[in-house]
Amino acid sequence: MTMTLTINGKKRTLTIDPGEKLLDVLRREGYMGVKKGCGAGDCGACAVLFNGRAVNSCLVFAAKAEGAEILTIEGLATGEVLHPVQEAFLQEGAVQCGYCTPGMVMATIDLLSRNPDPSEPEIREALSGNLCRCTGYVKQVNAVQRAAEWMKGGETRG
Amino acid sequence: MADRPKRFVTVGKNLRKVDGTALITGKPEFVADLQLPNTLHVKILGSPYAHARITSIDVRDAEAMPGVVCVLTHLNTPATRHTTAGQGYPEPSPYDTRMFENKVRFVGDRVAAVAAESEAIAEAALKVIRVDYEELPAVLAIDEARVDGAPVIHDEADSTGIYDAGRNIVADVDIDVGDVAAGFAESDEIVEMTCETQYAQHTPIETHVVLSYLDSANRLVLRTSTQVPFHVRRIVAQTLDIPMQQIRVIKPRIGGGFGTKQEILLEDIVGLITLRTGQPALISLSRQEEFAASRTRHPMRVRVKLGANSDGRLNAIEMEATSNTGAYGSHGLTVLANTGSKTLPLYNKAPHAHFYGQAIYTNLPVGGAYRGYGATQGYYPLEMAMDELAVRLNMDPIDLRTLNHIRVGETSPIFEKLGEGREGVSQTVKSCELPRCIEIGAERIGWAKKRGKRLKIGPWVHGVGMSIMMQGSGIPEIDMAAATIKMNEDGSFNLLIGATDLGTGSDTILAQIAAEVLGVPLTKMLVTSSDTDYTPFDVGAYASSTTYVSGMAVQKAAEQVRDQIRAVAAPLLKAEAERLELRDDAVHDPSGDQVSLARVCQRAMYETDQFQIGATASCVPTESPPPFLANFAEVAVNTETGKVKVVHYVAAVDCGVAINPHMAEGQMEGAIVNGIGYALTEEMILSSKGRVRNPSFFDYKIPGMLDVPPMDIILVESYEPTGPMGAKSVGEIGINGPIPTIANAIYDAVGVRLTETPFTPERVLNAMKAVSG
Amino acid sequence: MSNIKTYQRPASLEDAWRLLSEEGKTAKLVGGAVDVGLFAPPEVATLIDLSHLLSTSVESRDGGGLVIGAGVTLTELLESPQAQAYGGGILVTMLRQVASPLLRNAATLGGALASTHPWSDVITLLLALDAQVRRYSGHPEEAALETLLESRGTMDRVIISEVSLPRLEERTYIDFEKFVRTGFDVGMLNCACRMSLSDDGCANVRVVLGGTPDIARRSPDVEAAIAGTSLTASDIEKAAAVASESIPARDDVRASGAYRRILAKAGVRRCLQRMAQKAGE
Repeated sequence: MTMTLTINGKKRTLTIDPGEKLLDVLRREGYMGVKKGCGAGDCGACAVLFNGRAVNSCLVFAAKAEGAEILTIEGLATGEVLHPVQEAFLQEGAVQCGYCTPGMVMATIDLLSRNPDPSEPEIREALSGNLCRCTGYVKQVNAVQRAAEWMKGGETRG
Repeated sequence: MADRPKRFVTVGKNLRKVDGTALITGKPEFVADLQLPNTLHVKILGSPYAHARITSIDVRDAEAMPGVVCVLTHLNTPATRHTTAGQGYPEPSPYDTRMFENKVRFVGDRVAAVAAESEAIAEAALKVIRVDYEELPAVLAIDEARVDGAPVIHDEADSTGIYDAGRNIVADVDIDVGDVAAGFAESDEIVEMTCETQYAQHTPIETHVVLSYLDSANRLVLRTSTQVPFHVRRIVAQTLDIPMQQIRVIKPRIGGGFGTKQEILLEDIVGLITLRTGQPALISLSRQEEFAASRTRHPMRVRVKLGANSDGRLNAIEMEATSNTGAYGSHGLTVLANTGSKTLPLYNKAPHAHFYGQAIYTNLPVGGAYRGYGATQGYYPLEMAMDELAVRLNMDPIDLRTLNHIRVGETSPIFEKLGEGREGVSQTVKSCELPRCIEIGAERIGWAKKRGKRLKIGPWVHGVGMSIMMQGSGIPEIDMAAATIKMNEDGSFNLLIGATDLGTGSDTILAQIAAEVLGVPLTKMLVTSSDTDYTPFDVGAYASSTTYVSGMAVQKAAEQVRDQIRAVAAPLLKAEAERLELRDDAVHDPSGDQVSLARVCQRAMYETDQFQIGATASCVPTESPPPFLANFAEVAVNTETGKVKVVHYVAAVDCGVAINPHMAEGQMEGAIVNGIGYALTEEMILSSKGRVRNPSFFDYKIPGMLDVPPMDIILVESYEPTGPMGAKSVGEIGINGPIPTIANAIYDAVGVRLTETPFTPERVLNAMKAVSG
Repeated sequence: MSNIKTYQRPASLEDAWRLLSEEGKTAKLVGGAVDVGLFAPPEVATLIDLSHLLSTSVESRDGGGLVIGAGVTLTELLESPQAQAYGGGILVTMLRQVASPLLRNAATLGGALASTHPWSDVITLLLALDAQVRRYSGHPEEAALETLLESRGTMDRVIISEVSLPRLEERTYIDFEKFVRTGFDVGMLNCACRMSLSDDGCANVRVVLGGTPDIARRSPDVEAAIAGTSLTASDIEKAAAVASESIPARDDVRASGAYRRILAKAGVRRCLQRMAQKAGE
């Protein structure tokens, strides 16, 4: 079947299988920043924004995204300028292997779009579906707080 | 070796990862991110039985299925015995594995592999492979392995390196210092403790994944998620019986390893498929396959017996370990040996020590390297026994440790007696800030005011516990790392390293070391890591070796390059080469004159006495300086449900000089949280038939954001004179801490000793009931 | 492995129902699509997406009741002021413990009911609240969630369109408790209690225990133990002890049956203690 959706601001018409998951379609289309960690909604590595909300793309049927706006990690930076959340993750040392990072960044963007000034417990809850095995989650929390500060101040980067 | 410089320029700074921008923008840097045309998708058929002989296998229907290109079984693959353990040659693990065999030894063991045009077709083809099994009696617990009449798991004639195959014993270790029997006889107090650890898994978020293809010269390229690219090349050549020069291994960005990728698990299969078909082949384990058929931490039963004088001085330590290696002996001997060799030297004041034990086969999931590598299993009973000894002697557990732990200028006979599955290497400790670690940690947790207080808040009772430990920095006189640095005429440098960054940040810290020596900012170091065609040899990322061993190779290479630069610059500056200094992208003479590095390189390349400024240097360490760690935890135990909550965790670690403090902290934070999961929630639950019942993150619970206590990671720096820039390695040590520390804190809170991990609410509650009757 | 051949977006509930009826077991309804891909049986060939057909509104009714469109995601419900105001915020308390935000952002209320997971927190609480479920099977129908769960196997064979929660009387108290291994987890056990407290003691009592590991079920024995009491400490202990014995506890990978009995006791005790405390305020 064919479907039309918007990925990172670009309108795309894709041919998909009706049973395919959004994760697999996005990767096939070259959005390799969307990672597969479990295929079961347990780890969050595949998180993308689906009409503004972070979801596990390994669960969502691609066909469900008909007409939807999808944002992946590849759609965040403007040219060489990183999104403040990306910038904050790097500055705070929150990236180790980087495999869970795209999902965590997308969940953070969802959080900050609704709650520009989250408390630490709110950050932890918002990212509770994103598993990381390299870090102790300490520096990600710091990074989200840092990004929130920058974004409140209207800065694009630190 | 140079003294500690007054100040570092690049080292010691929280510089950003050199690969950070690529990772944060989602660049296609990982194995499976490379899409090649005509790639075959590979799936493996796993054994449904724990122990069985394959009496017949019929793959005709699978081969006939449209889209299926290649099916591998024991009937059409090389039968070379090898080990999957990615260790240096000759590997200390037995050669007890074939690609495929007519015998399967655990649920999930390889039976066949199918390569097809899509993953769906490959999966469908697995279902039509007809296998007849003759089910054999299985060994499903460590106590069943060595009894008379037990099934023999490796009854084949051609396996080698097994200690006693007929009794399912992979390895046997027995070393003595002094006479422990006499030591115990002289002791005023004896404490004995036996602990059992569970099956647990590494669970990197990226599972094992390999892509293979042929290059333009028809050489086999393996792009693989590995910690050991050079061992992959060697072992795949051996397994497939092809010349090693036909293989190139590329390690791109890796989504975590923690030991499980120190294993040659899939490279042989996709490699053979590509060689047979000429097509690229990709295998990527599902999470379920990863749980069922990759590698685990060796479950162990470890008994520790301590004898001490009434003043707390240890007389004798005995440790007996029984390690379950599962169906194959990968890392069986060395993990067992490390259980003693990485723990007992800590208490070098005891004149008598005895370590012995065996690693045994079972028809259960296969053990492998896992961060901590046996030390984790050993520190659990050791540090709990120390806690108990302190209670019996009415001493503060801190004072008991302080009295007995190793210090600068001291050695332990264990270093020499017990090494990597063989004799070790003697060494004297040259840096140890453990006393300060203990002091700072105790202060931070509030030890004096919390210990023994049993603060009650509703059903929760609080307690504090502590433990200390050491690990090592690489494997002395075995590990080898090399680094190549070459200079470009714009003043930049290529740093080519076989060292394997698997998310640890080693590319960055190794570049920081080189940049420090060469007086350039990090941006001038262009890092290429781990390509067997282009980077020099390195054993890979394991045994806490990278910072110390690979770091020293980088430092030496950088120093040689620095000396070449000085020699070229000397005539330009009309100064003696020895008096020139490299900093700020330039060579400076004492008078204040300078010449840019770019200028120096241009001269070398285009003008006078032309040559390539560059060097390759190697490091084979002669010792393995231990990092030291003091752990403190405050826990709350719910007396209604048995739930244990870690309220606060403090880890003060002596890592030598932290090359990049953020990254050193990151190693500690990650290891401790992994250890907390191992202590409290993580457990592979096996059925009575040996099947993993919880092969998913849905039911194998690793810590998430909500499960992490407030943590204080304190880097207590020392200067390790044998290390690069004074550094030691801290990749592993942190993971050893949570089990004994939390166990001791639980004891402080509710008075029970938990001798089985993980400390699930149910186990805690049962232990409390057993104590209260 | 998925055998899905078609993904349908019917124009109306009637069309959706017709498709479902025609296709039978080879068709599956999709709301948020969180579960379907994971749990759908291999015979499923047709997916029928309902999300564009279902209401996503959360409205207050009858001076305090709540009517929730089945297409509402758990996050939308969590964030709606009406839901936050209902029952002292009990929906929020429960929903924040359900799965993770990534899943709550996609999962719909209708799907949470239709999937009838034995560990479901939503079902446990809604059962205690005596939720009414509006469905469409060629014609609209309405029934109590409790009644529908009696034929659990058919919950996903009818289109769930709306859920309504009753207006809560004065001095009605509700509480929810869940026991997890880690913060993002399905419960080893969950429990919800509702009652009204007057001078005549507890009335309208509902005690529901779920994840036992069976799906949520009311516990008449516990309800009987509480009804008419004034919820003293000893009443609570008695009820908790009954809870421990009354659940159909079994072992699974998450917990043993014996431990579930301990949790049932602790859960009912915690809920009742908090409710008694609120009643006393």
